Amino acid sequence: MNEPDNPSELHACVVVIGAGPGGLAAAVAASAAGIDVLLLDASPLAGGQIWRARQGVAAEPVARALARLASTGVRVLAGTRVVMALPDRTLLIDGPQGARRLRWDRLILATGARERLLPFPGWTLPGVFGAGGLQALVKGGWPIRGRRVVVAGTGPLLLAAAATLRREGAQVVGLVEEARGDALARFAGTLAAHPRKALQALRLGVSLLGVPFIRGSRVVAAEGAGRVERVLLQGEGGRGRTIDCDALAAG
Amino acid sequence: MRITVDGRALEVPPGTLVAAAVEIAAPGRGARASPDGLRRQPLCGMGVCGECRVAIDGHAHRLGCQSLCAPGMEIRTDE
Amino acid sequence: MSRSVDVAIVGGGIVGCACARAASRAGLRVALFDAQRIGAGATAAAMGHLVTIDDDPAEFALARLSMRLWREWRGWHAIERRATGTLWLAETPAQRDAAHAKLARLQRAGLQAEWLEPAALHAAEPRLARDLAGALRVAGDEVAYGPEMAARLAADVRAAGGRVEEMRPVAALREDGLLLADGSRVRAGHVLLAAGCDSVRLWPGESPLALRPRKGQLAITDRYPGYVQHALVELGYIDAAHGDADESVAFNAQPRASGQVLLGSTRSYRDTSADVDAALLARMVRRAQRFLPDIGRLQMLRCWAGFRPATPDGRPLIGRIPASDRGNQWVATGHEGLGLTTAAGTASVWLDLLLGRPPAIDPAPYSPERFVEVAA
Repeated sequence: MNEPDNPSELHACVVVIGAGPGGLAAAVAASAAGIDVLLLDASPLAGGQIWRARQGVAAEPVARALARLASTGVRVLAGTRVVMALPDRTLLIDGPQGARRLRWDRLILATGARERLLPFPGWTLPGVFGAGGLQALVKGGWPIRGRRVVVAGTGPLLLAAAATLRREGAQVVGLVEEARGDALARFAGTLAAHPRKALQALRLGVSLLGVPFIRGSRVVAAEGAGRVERVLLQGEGGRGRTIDCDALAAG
Repeated sequence: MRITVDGRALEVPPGTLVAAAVEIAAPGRGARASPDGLRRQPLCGMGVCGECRVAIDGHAHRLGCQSLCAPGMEIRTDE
Repeated sequence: MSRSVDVAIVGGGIVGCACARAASRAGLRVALFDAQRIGAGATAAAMGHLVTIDDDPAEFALARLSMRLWREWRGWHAIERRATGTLWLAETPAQRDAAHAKLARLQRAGLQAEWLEPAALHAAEPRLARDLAGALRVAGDEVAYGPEMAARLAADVRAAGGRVEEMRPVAALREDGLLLADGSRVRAGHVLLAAGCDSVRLWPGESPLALRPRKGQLAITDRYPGYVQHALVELGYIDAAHGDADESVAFNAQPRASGQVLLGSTRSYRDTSADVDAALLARMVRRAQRFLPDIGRLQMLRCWAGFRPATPDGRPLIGRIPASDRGNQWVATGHEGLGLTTAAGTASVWLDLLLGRPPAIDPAPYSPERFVEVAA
């Protein structure tokens, strides 16, 4: 972070909100064109969710982008949230240096997505996380080694989350994909047109060898005394199944 | 680095989130309780759900998942 | 096409629901219509302060009647409601003297009230600034949650056989009932207009309803249990509420059951947008800092704006609509910042007028006739 003392009002030609892949790319592109840019993110570390720092160490693409931004004098405000939009192209921001007004000529919203899951009984139990949520916490030092984790939901994020957790020493006791076999086969078919993605998928598959993979099922409840101890699944044709675990990562 | 969680000293590596430090200090306990006394742990890991809120160096309701541990930091959970 | 009812009520806020309940419990067939959800307008934006405000004798009478009826109501279970009492804060010797006059009036009316010198005030509320002149403590005031009250009242109406219909906007009042926006008609012996600021649109007759939306803004913090115990209001609040200024702020804070602190208040005639005006919000928070110097350290979770229905003299309209030839069109609105406090009393006065009985208090100060200009 390279902010000098705290004037109560800042100005930038281009303000980028969000230092994930999109925001970093926007800031790099704008600054390369010689424009005065200010980039801010609520998180203390850049990278958003996909390029999360691991134990404080930036992911490669993030380190590269931050180096480019430093060399072009882009101001980066970490740990800084936008509180309110004020009139006349001004934001009220709040960060380690206190609350300030930030005037902008152009504003780029690169705030990304948030994980949403449909609540189920027991979803507020300690040990129930979003799939991306647990991945992010683990990259920030959350202890997961030796803990039994069920990863459930749908889509490719699930595989990435499971792979990360496994790499950090978790015992992935179930990878529960809501989509049924035919839908998955169709998705796999589309990968043929994208060799890099196909290779990525293959690598993921290899890193997840040995993990019990359950298709066409979803979590219907998390249960436990004071924290999650098992999850109840429901599959095709209403078949039920229980998996004992220490954590549930639901996406 | 050395920090304290609810008055107890703890060593954590650099790059550790405050939310993770709370878990290291008291596994499974979480930083907060619901109004009826049920413990809560983080859900989203990205500053939205608010279940990671702790007091950091006397400032209440800081998001633990959006805060990095710093040397000498004092963290207080919802005891 | 609905079957006929005795009373059709437009508006499902705290006032409309209280009136509907009173009517249905008196044996009348009632149908209430709200354009949105029950209690979603000013009722939801409000602070929920049940406060016996005494500076206008008519308001005082209505508030005392209403508070008695709220205490008798059996519908409170599981509704947020706390007997916090109110501390009216005096900054200056002049305000202290005015507060003593207020104290005398309240005590004469049988309310439990006392004066707190600065030391006692500090003991009662340690977070307050130390340089105040003292405070008037009114023990019987409460903090409650308006939307839950309105929902319970609506449930009472249904339990008594009445109808409560949400998401059903009304297009116009008719002589024989209501015309709904979807084209259907409701036949009713009487209609009651209790639609808050929207009453202006539906007001029958040539001369417009003397009602203006008075925008207010509030902010609520994260949980800080024990931060304050009482509803805290600066004495200047009364001047702001009764005054006609285009824009004003007055300090008002209260603890909620969750431990959150609800902070107010602002008044503005100049802004009709539903967005929060940041500059006015900042003024409100700075005013709050004068009384609670460390409030700036609390986390604010949310801020919002709402509209109080305000009349020229600050008193509500309760009674027959002047333009009603048949005399079967009624109005109960214009409660400004006292809707929750006075809804039960309003319902009582209105029902008595409807049934031709003498109300428990003099209804003349609330008569809609008072705004009718007499033709020369």
